[in-house]
Amino acid sequence: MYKKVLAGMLSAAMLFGMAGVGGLGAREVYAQEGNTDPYKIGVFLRFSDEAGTKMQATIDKAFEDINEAGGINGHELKIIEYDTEGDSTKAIDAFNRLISEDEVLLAIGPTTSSCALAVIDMAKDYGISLITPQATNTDITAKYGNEWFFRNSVADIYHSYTLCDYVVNDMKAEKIAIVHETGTLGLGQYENFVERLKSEYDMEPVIEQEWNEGDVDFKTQLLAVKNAEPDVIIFAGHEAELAIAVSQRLDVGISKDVPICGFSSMSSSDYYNVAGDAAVGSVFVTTFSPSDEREDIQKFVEEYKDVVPAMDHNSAQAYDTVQLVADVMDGLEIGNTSDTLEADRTLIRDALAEVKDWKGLTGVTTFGPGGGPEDRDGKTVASVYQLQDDFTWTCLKEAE
Amino acid sequence: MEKTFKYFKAHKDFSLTVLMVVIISIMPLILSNDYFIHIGCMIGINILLALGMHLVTGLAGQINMGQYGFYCIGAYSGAVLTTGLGLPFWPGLLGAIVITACFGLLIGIPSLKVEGPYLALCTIGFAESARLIINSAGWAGKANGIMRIPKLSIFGMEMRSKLQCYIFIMCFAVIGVILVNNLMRSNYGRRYTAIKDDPLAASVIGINVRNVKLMAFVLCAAFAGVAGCLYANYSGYIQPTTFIQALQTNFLLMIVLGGLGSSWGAVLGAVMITVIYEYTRSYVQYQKIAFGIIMILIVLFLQRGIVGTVAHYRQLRMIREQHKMESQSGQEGR
Amino acid sequence: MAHVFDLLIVGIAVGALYGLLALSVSLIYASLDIIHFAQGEIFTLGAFLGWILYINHVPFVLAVILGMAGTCIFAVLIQKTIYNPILKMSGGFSVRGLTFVVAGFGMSAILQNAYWLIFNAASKSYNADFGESIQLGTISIQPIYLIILVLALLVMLALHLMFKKTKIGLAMKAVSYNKDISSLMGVEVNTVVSFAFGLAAALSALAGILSAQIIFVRYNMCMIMLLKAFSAAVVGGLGNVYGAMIGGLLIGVVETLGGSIIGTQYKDIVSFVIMIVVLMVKPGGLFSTKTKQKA
Repeated sequence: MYKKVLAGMLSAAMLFGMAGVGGLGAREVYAQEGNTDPYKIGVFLRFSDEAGTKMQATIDKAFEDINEAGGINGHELKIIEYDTEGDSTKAIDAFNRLISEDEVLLAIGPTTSSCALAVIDMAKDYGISLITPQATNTDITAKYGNEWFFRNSVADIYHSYTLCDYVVNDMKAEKIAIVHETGTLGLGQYENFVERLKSEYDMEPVIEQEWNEGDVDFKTQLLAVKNAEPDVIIFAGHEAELAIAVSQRLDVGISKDVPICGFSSMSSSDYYNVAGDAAVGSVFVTTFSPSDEREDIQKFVEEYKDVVPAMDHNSAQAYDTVQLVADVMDGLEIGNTSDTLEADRTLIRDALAEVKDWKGLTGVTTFGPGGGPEDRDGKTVASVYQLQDDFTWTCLKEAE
Repeated sequence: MEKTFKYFKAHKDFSLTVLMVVIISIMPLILSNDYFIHIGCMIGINILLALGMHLVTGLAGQINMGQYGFYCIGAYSGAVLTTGLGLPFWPGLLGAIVITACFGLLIGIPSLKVEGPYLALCTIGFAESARLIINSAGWAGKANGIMRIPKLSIFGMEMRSKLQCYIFIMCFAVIGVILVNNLMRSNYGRRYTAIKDDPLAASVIGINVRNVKLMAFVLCAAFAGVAGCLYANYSGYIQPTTFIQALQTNFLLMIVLGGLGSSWGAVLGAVMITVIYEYTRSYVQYQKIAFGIIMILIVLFLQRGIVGTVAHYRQLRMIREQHKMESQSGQEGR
Repeated sequence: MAHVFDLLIVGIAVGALYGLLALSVSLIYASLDIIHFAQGEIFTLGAFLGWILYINHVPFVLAVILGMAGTCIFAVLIQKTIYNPILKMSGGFSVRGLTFVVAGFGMSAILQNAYWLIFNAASKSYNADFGESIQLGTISIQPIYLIILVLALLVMLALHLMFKKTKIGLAMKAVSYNKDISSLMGVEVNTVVSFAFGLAAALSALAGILSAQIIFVRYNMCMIMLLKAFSAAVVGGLGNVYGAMIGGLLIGVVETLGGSIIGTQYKDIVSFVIMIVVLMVKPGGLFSTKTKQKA
């Protein structure tokens, strides 16, 4: 008798569990009622860090605003969000769910390069467009790209090249030290930088040091850097560790006169809030500055300042991606039923591939028909900025 | 008919295994979209991991909090052998099992001297070290992981569709369950429970406690190695961030929720945790808090786990019925 | 040679932090005989409480004291409502020692994600100013590091005096040796246990607030710190208050020196290996005279 109960529980657990999975709602962003058959769009990225929190807030508000203005083609948008936590397993799970269970028309994400690598082949196998507002690792499109994956951000390679050119040509540095994290972000930036240094200028960094994500003490690395007496120090990694590393460099005895350079993480509030004065004067490459005088940027800053205090490129890129998707889907003949799902997804992909010179807050996006970096890296230029005393950043060199 | 029924009742493990195979076969017919089949594959992999935990912690009583380390090593071994060295899947799987089992042996050594929470600390330390080494290893792709790992295959035929992968992985899961059940029933398996209950007494009656402990870790690692290799070849991509300490809480919860002493507990735990995880995917923080609360509730109220509690009450009822029968016959006899 | 000297200073500075957290871990072990895996979350709670107060213009020292008190109260609450019933339970898991491993990790999951919900994922900073840096050779030490070292030594001294001279210290030692006999002898076991737990929580909170000055405040700030603290406590001998601090300094120094040799990305492995080796070879820690029976 009890064995039957046990067996019943086992099968019930599996049966009801699996059947019920779809039911319990995903996070949804609705606007008004009235419109039947909403367009379903999936969003899966890393919400568990500071950048992700800002991106989520921006994406939520952007889609809400679109829905309030009537949606796209008269259909409201139903946004289904999942957190990847930067873990490829979870990204794969979430993407599977978006494709087969939630049946979304396209997916926005993921923001971490490793998650993008995990799902890029799936995008092709199932025929669904994937557009990411970050995921800057160069290899994603260079080695593994396909026509279904769109990168609406500036890949590491362009960031690194711009910074490298600036450091060598404009700052006239000869001895360059690089301190980077072992995670995908810092690693990719470092590799591209060193590659450019070698191929274009036939130089090598005078010293390289590494740290792991989660580390809190960098003095050992910084001591080694100090002993190498560099002209310039490049830091590549995530915001919070960057901040500590940059403050600790002063403790270790590296002079404040030695300029420090980095990438867009340095424009994040985590960075300058934690580092304080030690961060002032940092030179970095990024695609967005909230103090930029341009009208569209100021409008964005004004509208979103409650939702995203201390804005940086993350929210701007997220906003751009949402607007791009909305513009692309506008006017398309989307059937929006389960039968037309495949055709709809292909239609959206083709429409995305035709995007040319689309002006966003963070640059001009152009895609192309093929699957390689030329056609799938939407933007290829970044500008050089410097952090000021009031933690805004001014442009030192415009993108070309 | 009566005879078959009695046979099933008497051979509990056999009948449950048959039931499991039946459920596994029916599932894809009811829930046929690729997402559910993917969940099914993950359930299969988790069953293997939970079985490993059950062997070493539930049966042999050695607290192993480093299962995610074995999983990591298994996955990377499988991946590197099939991509870097270009081996076909089955030699890669074998290699993954051997490599992970060797590490299991290595971790078994501290268990000889150390136990309880201290062993938990040691195993965590080992697993974190493994992840750190792999995170910085060029041959492992560093933080970018390994991409385009070849698919699962048998006799040259690749598992292209999700359904094929599901059947493939579930075969391993069922074989794993059968292996563990047979092990438990054998003379050899009884030694495990002996050293868990009282190592001193066990050594007095002649059990080689040292060998049993080491073997427990080796077997646990072997299961995790299989699970890791299957995962690597199934998903096609692995990276270090998957194998973090937070993952271990899931494995612990699987065996504790299901029931420490029973392999079916491990299976039930694996199924429930994977399903609950997917069910609550949209509420990440709440889900993790809920898992923590479940763990505390289990410690307070459900130490035997679900399967254990059911078995316990069944036993109590049997004893009560027996007492009733005895007192009745005693009365009649007067 | 000068380079090694620099590394030594760095190691001591970071080791002092490990030592402070290791003190609480050791203290809980000494009184409750459990390894509390959620101690990192208590550490984080202290940092958060202090931060809220400090951001709202409470002077630093007062913020520290109130933060410690708040954490203490919260920890004792958890202990009385959740851990006490667990301790009193007869039976438990069939595997010895698993009870508090599961409870600890469960509590850790609850607290850490609660912090994420309440405080979101951004890193926060006190940005408190402690004055000019002090030159020590070619390295300048921020005053906060000296404050940490001094405080750590004071705490160590205070604990030592408490254990040797006061009644409550004696009671704590008795309870850690044998609860039942102590209660027979008239010791209020419940009060003593709560006191020990609260004291350990207050120390962790102090460690958390001080660490936050050097790094930042975030829901998962304790990730690596906790394992290092366990290593330090093990090296010094669980339950040995002096040992915890010295263990911390040792781990800090060895890790820094080792990291500069084998590569800084592997430096965490150094402390793990030390912990495993010590547990296997001399489980009572490097400073114990008698070996203690393991759980």
